[in-house]
Amino acid sequence: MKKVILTVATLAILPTASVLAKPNNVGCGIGSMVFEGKSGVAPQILAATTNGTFGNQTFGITFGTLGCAKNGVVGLPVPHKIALFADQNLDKLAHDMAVGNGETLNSLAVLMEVQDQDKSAFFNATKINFAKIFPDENVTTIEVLKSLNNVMANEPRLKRYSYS
Amino acid sequence: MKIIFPFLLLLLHPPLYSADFSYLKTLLKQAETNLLANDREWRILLHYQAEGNGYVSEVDDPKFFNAPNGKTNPSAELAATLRTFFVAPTQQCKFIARYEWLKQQLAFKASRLAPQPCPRFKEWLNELNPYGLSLIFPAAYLNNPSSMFGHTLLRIDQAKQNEQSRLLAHAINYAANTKEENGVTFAIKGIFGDYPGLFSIMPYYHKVKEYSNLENRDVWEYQLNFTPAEIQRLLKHVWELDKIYFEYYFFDENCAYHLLSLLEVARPSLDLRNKFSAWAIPAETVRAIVAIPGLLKKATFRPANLTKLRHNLDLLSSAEQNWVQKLATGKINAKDSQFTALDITTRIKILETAYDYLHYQHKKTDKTRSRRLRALLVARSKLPSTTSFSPPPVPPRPEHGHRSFRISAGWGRYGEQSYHSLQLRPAYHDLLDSDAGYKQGAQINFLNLNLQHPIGSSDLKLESLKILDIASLSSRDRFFQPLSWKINTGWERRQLDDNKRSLVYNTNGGVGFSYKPIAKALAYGFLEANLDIGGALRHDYAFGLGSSVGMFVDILPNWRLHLYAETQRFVLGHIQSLRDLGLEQRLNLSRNSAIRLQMKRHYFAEEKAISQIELNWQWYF
Repeated sequence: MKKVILTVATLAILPTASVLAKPNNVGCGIGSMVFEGKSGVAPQILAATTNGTFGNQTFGITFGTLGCAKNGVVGLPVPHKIALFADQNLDKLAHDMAVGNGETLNSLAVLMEVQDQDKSAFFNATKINFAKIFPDENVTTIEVLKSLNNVMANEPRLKRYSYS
Repeated sequence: MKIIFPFLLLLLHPPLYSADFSYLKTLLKQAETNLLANDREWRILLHYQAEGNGYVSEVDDPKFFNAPNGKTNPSAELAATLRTFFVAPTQQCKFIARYEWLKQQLAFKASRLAPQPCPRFKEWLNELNPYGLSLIFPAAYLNNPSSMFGHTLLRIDQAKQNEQSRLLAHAINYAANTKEENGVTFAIKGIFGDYPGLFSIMPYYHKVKEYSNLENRDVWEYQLNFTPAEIQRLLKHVWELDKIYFEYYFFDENCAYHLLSLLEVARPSLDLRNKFSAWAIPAETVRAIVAIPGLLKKATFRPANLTKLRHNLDLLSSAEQNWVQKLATGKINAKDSQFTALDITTRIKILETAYDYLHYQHKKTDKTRSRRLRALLVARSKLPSTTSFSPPPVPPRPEHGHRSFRISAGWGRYGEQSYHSLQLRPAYHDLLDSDAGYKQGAQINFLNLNLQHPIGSSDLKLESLKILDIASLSSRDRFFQPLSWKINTGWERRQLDDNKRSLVYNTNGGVGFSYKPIAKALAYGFLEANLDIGGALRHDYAFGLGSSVGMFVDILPNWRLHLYAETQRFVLGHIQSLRDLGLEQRLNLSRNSAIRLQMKRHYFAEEKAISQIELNWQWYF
């Protein structure tokens, strides 16, 4: 709980967010659906997305423009940075949780500050509880993060990393 | 009182602060005596390039300069910058790289020019947590002109980062900022610098998602040996470039070029940009960077999702592939007793592959597939986590492939006429060139010039000049059904009757299928359309439809054959039928030299035929 208060406090006082916030769709879609993958493979001749060259990323050096305004989303179950990561990588997270390891799941563990000695417990817990964390195909990122928090809170080794 | 105090301080602020102008004068003089404005580091920091007798900065944004004539006058800019630090001290934070350098060069006295705390910069740096620097090189992506030749970006690696957490590092990217969605318009406008180019920073996972997951481009990550101090210098400069635009030029001042300037900022003794003043192909800049002794720490291959999927499918038996297909199409589900009867390792492999395959094909709106994807993962989550597949083999590194500028010289005979041939191709790779380090089945020839000197004459004849010649051959199998396509445009000679070969401007496009009948071969078939324009043609044009089939075969690793047959029927304008039957061979002598032998039988004007043979030596540099 302490962490949550701290984060909210930090977000509130950060002047950068308002100074630098630009209209941006990257990451503002917290709540996007997990299995809504990308479009298929049909070779799109002269297709129009790549490299950020077509402006599908906003341009900026500072972090205010990394995602949507840092304090733009209320009621996040985890700090903004974790929520943003989960939202952008939900497909991969689902995959890694079901398998029981993987780069994306490990990165989430790092963001949640899970210590190395507890990582296998973390991987294991998300695997065993996969069906709970992803109860159906319409689940939103926020719901996933809430369930993840619950799963961690009920696991003695992981309780201290949870945000609930 | 306590609350009022800061306000009082604010009110009093202007009179309390008075710039020490006599110290400014001293510093200005010192800078002049030391010729600081001529220093290489100052030129790098301000992106000055020699032009005529003076210098011009590559930066086009006036916000980047403190002097009104800063873009063209390094010493005026230096003087104005020093003045700014006195008049508006917080500008020390905005121009922090310049500030740090001048402070070091002129040994600023803190008592006379107070250093600023710069909290926003520090917070930013803290968030980046810089420790190392990597050059990231996603492979060429033919489906978009802006990334046809590949792309490069930098990654700021964090302390304690490893291969399992590198997604959390940050990428520094330079790109044109435009909403233009038409790739052709983009490429054309990009040539003339019509777009503003900007640097941006984003989490590396955004880039991985874009390349590995959406565009299916393999990525090479080169960890470079830069010291923490060098990386800090680079970042300070990047901080100065926030929202600063350059005119984006597709060929020279592009992503690859501007990353070179960041590396020069980090280590001013590196001289990289000069090698690419006319032309910066990302792969060539990668080659130049990793060739610097001691700069490359480690190269890592990050296969795209599709690369992994194809590899995993190859590892499955045909019975296992059947299961993958049945699960992915929903013919059976993972709870089916026939499936659960299989042993655990086999089920793990099948479930993972079926998921990856379905995910790859998946379209956003398809709810049935979404449900099926989840069901596959639920089934997978009930089986142990043992890793099931070996990683895909690591292909040859891009910098170990042939260079992209090719010159060919040789001898040929067309009908009764012998000739010397000379060809120049500034970029980049064709289907007969060695694939090592390049994307297989992808061809981009740019400004391919072909000259002939008929023996016994003093002429030098233009045989062809292809502006652009792109082909993408992607093989089809039971799991993947991509289309192959090609498009090319430029001048070439047409045999119009017995003794007349005239230049026409030809544009040709085609769509078709490719298959791999065996591992070392690639067969294709295209339906094509042709448009010729030229004064020698009746009605000055010819429009036709045609088809072509052919096959590439690697006889040996360094020896490739290409057998082909083409037929073109021009039905409008200058009506005629053309057919070609040919065999081309390429034998590599070394990485950057090859011999090419081409033989062709050309049928024209109602079954007349003529033969051509040509032998060339090719050098890549």
